[in-house]
Amino acid sequence: MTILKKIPVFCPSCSNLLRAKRFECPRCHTSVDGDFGLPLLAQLPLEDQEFIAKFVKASGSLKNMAREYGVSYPTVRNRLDDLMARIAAIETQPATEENPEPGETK
Amino acid sequence: MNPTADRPAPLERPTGAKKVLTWAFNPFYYIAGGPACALGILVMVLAEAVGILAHARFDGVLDLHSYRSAPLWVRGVEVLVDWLALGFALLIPAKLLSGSRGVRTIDILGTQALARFPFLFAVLLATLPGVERTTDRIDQALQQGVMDMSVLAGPMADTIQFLTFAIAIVVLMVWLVALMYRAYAFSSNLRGAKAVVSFIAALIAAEVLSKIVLAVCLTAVGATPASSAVRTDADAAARVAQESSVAPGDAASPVALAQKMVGALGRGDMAAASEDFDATMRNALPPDKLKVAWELNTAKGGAFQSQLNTKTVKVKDYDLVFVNCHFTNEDLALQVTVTHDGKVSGFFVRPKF
Repeated sequence: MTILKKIPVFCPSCSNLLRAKRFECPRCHTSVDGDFGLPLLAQLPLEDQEFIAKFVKASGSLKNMAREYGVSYPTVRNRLDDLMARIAAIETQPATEENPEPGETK
Repeated sequence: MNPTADRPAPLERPTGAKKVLTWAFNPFYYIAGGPACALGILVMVLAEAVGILAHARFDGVLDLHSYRSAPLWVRGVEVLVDWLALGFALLIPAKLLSGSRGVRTIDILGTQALARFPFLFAVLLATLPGVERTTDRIDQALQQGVMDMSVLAGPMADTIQFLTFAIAIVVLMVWLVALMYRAYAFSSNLRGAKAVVSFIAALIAAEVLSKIVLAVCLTAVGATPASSAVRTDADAAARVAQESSVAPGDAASPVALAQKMVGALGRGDMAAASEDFDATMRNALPPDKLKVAWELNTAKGGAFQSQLNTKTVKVKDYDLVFVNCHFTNEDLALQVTVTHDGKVSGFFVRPKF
């Protein structure tokens, strides 16, 4: 059974945004070391990422999303509003030495 | 720092007690828009149907009043005005204040329609016989300007039913307002003080608006005087009063005065019918308005045919004379309130006793 590990995004000690140090090919085990910033979507909670994936697969139709989830249209739309607010909050975070722009490498 | 620390609950269907609570206090999580609108309208129609049985009317956004019967079309106008006045009053702040670009008119109106379902329980409780009898007593006391606890005294079972009803009404009204607020906040995605303040302002505006619109509508057809001076009641007196059948009396008796007035109404002689009105009744119901009120309130009975028997109930300084009358479609009782100095101070259309 394959366990889908949740990618840690924030430091469990100080809550700062984490960065990736190494990527490795699972087939040939070639590894790339560096300092890689996480893309914006990867900084969102897993639930939000799943919501975005479903939203895209539903061709951006909130009505279809509501039907799929078995909830009302405003429930889905409010969820989308919350998600938009989260993305805006991430985007407006000031870039610092500890927290460079998403996706930026040092 | 972590901007997503306040994580949203995943979009899942709640289970168990949480599901029950969600259905009770936020059914809009599951139903909104068109389906909520359709279900809400069904609930309003059912509430109106039960309201006819309970002799209750919804004459305002948050109003439920007993013993004011009305033609079906008036009931229809009332319920539409109640619903739409609040719906549109909330739509304005929802569109102006919400940061969401997806606020839909159908969600605001639909969820507000569905939010009115506690009214159905309220009106069902109003059908309890003890509640009807007790409100009859209150109604009659108010009609005569008397508010004496002895007038309200009744069987213990009636009192218990009425108190239960009174407590339940408070709970149901709180539930109703909570649902209306939740429907608004959820459909507009407004939160905090912005949602609360705008909701209260819209609710007050809608209550005032509904009263004005209903008054204008009913005045336009001459029904306003009817609502204040001529009201169809449940067979209140039959339930409340200690009945005493009275034979036609002498010319000066309250019975003779009532029979004379009813006879004139039956003939369509409104001037003669209003001959013994006191000053207040003369002002409220001049002959032309009396004609409209008479036709409106006896419409379901059909054409007047004849007077049947009478009975008289003494309430403080007033004689309430009930005259059963035969109409082509349905027999009705006409209640004439006679003062101690032989003037008519009230006129009501009621079911036959």
